[in-house]
Amino acid sequence: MTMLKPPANQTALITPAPAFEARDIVKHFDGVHALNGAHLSVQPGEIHALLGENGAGKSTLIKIATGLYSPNAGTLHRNGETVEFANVRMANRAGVVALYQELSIVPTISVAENILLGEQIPNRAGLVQWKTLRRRAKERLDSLHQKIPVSQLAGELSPVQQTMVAVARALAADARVLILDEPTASLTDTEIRDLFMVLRSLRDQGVAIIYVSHRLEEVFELCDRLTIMRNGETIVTKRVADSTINEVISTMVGRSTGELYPDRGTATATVALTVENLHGHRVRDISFTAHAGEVLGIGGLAGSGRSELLRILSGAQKHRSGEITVDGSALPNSPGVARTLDAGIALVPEERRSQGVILSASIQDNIALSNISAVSSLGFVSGGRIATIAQRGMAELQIKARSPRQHVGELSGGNQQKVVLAKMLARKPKVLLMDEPTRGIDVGTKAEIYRLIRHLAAEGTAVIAVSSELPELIGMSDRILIMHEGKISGEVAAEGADDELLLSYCYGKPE
Amino acid sequence: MIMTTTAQATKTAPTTTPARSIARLLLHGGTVFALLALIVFFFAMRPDVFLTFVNVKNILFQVSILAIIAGAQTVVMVVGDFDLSVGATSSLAGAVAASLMLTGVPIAIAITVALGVGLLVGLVNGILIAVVNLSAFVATLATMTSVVGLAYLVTAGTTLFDLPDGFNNLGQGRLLNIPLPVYFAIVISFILWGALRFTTIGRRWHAIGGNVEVSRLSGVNVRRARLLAFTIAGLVSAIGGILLAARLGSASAVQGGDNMMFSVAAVFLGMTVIKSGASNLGGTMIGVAIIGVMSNGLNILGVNAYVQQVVTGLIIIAAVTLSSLKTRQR
Amino acid sequence: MRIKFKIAALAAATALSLSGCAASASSSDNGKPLKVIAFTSGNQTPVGAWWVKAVTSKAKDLGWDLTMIQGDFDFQKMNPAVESAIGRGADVILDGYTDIASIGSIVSAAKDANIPIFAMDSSTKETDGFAVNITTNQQQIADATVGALAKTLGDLKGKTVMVIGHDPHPGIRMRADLAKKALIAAGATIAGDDIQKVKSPASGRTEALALVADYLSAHPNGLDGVWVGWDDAALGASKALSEAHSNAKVTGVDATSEAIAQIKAGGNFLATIEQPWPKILDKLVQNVSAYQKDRTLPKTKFEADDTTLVDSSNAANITPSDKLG
Repeated sequence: MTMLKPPANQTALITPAPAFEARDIVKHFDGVHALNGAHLSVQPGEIHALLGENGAGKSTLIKIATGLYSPNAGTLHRNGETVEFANVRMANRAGVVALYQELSIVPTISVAENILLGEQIPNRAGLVQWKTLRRRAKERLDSLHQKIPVSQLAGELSPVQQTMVAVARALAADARVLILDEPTASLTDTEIRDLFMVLRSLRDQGVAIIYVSHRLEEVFELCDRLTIMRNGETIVTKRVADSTINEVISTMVGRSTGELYPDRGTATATVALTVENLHGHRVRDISFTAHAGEVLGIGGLAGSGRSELLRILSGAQKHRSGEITVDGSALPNSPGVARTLDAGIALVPEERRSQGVILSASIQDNIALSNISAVSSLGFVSGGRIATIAQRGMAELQIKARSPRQHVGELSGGNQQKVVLAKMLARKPKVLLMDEPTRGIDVGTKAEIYRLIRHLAAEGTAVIAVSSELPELIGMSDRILIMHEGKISGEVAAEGADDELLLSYCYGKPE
Repeated sequence: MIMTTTAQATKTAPTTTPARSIARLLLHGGTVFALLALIVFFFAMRPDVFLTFVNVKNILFQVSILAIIAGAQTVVMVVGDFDLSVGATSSLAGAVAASLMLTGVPIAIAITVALGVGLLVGLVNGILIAVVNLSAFVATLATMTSVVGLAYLVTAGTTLFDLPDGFNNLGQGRLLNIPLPVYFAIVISFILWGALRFTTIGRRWHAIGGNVEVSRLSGVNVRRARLLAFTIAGLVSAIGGILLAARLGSASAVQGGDNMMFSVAAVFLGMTVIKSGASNLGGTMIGVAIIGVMSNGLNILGVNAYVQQVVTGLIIIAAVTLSSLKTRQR
Repeated sequence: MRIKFKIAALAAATALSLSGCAASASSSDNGKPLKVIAFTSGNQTPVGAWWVKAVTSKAKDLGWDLTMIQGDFDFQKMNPAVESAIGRGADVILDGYTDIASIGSIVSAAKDANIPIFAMDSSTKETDGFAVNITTNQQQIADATVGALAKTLGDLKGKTVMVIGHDPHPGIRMRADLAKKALIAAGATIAGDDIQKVKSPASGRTEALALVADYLSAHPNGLDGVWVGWDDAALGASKALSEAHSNAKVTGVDATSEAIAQIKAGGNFLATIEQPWPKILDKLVQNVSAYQKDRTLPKTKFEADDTTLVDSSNAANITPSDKLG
């Protein structure tokens, strides 16, 4: 692979000037280089993937592109002209707009207000002209072929509708360079298809789209070209048609990953968990067993009750009726998290940053949190025992950190996820529940997590993992349960499972 | 939608250069630095007075009760809540102890009952917040209002005085020429510090203050821990109020009401002392010291009381702003 | 927030039914009872509480139709309550201990409705807003207390005296100024060159305590006397003096039972001032009765009555201000 510098002779080959270009960008924080010679060049009418592991510098580059940070060295160009963005407003005015995963809409105001946020609100003598406001907003949504009631509160919309509103707002601000950061993270497959349709039509209208994602399958489906970053540098830019997923992964990681998923074959016949006729919020009549040494995958569309099932099993959510039996002994009704943990069920929750770890606390305090009785006696905690348990966890899971006292907020996503795991594994659970075990984690660490899951299974743990990515579900599991509207709609052996069959179960259709 | 602001995850551990660590120290230590600067300033202005034994003893005596009440506030703020009723609870406890003693109840029993009343107010706060799920602001604002009313009822609107000498000694007696409340404040602060740092409940409080949902999913009984935090705050506030009554030799419905605002200010100042920005007892005591040194020093310099109030506010803003720079520089 | 409309309608109704004869005898010619609105913001202070009780009982005796409004120092709620009572009609308004500055809206509403306000201790000088305001003589209070200090300290010449005041209270503010002048005239030095100010009456005792303690710490043995505008703060000053083993003396104003007890005990608390509130209320009620009879208003709009200095010689015979009711 050759380094692609953006010298004049190469740009000359492509007829129009790039809609957006960043050249030789250097950015450091407190002397630490976040970017060290990053390039990005995006043509109008192109969907351009920006790829790299967490910490590779993608986010920093985007923040520089949108005026959040100013670079220590390097230049930005818009349609061939050098530009400088002192703040987000200036970038937006130049037509460069970024949509972030989480902060793109204001949930407490209406869709219409969201779309026209930041523009002059139509008013007469300070009174809002609601009719005009709604009409304009509707026009914007119509151009995206979206039917979203503009008077509704934005917070009441589904995730994909919220994304559409954010896109509509960007277009309302006349965005010509649209940056999307993990836009599909909380979307279901159909929603993703809708979004892609919109993005393609925008591309055809000449909008330059920078698409940041960890989901390589999507990138290969949607994007025209890709740029891969590693350690703050741009490694390569090439056409997607000329690349393969494996090649992209090894470029991102800087080495060959080998097989992403480890071998199966650890399942035993010993029943670790039995669930009978479980009913609860969004969960209807669920019965299944999980075996020691087995990785049981649970799939289904968002809202199918997958996460709720795990929350009930972990004691975090109450259920109405049904029996949960761990290792032969039945759990009491609505036992609470502490009791289920004692009984041997541990949960690695879906939202790592808001449910899994305390970002402001140290690694060792996070790990100690689920193990307070193990590190204390007579109500007093022992600093020594906390350190021991933390060091053991860090070593076992190969958590990369300066010390057990480092704050979790300073770690990469993958290492944060390992802290969550360390916390729960210190309890030596018989059943480990994992909700989206690799969400937002870079590819290199993903493989590590899969190996770890298999390793745990080999030690006799029953792992139950929810995932919305079918390849992951198939790759990591032994057996897959698919949920639809709160019920189990199908069960499939993972090995050699067929995507389409799984999808049809997801939509509740019988074979 | 949850928005969490954290440092951008970096793979390389930041390296620390000496110049940078000094700058860091200054920023982290902004509040400590402010305290030292105040001490140096007042000492320079009145070297003959400010750091004499008598005056230092004076300062300690003046802040001892605030220190206790700020300790109570720290516990609640570690959990991520706050308690507007600490001042009112302390007044009520003082009033209850005084009125019982005036009707001839033995000192020990009167104090026990008053402590019980404080515990009860804390428990009510805890139930309203942890079980009924009211916001801490609303719940403690409401209990504060009712508790002040109760204190008026107990004192019949007057100032109760003529308390037994044995009781007054708790607040006015000396050991090694240092007033007893100073010892009480030190002992209670150490107990609270130890409880926050070394006990399981203390670690649970910290975890809940860091992130309630994570704590719940990690098996922490959040409800019980919050309930306990408010109950302890009520109890400790009552200790403060009883000592204030003993120190003044009298009890009224409103005495010590200003301790609520000062306790919150002290905890906020203290939060700036440590890197994570969480409330912590050591920091709170530095905050209490700043408030005490300010008031005593400005009195010694003969600064007008109104000007003092303005300056106190400005110092709080300055210390907190200085420390907020450290979070923004990332 | 905590407004209580303790409308004494019930008390008034009972009074009317029980003492029908007395009521009609003393009420106006047309046989209707006199409609009186009484209000005070200071009902949480002992003297204010006494005033509420005393006025209610006078109303009962005289057969008034009384509306009593208690403001809890919350003018935002009390003033509209009084104004709406004025809107419903009244013959007379009584104001106890609520300064004219805080009730401008009530005064103009009363003026528009042509209802006279009879006030006690509600301004420090003559005002058109009141038909009459009877208060105590602040000059005499200052002179008496400063005199008590002079008597004990010998000559005030060359002595250092701290003056502690509280500006938001007009009476205390005025007498503190007068005391400062009197002390300077007698040759004394004012500690810190000015009146020391307490910020909040709620923490008056601790604030005064800290003021005196800190001053003594900066100027060991630097005080000969402390003049304080009211007893609660004076008690704090007294405590600070004894804790610093100072020989300085303290005077206060109000004659609270705690201050009287201190004076009797013979410590550093020299003297306080008894203000004749029951007598003043009687006088005010006489004025009201005269007005009820033939609409005559008092000749003078401002009256400042003399007070009694309470020291060790007469402390035993004084009814404390918090034991009036």
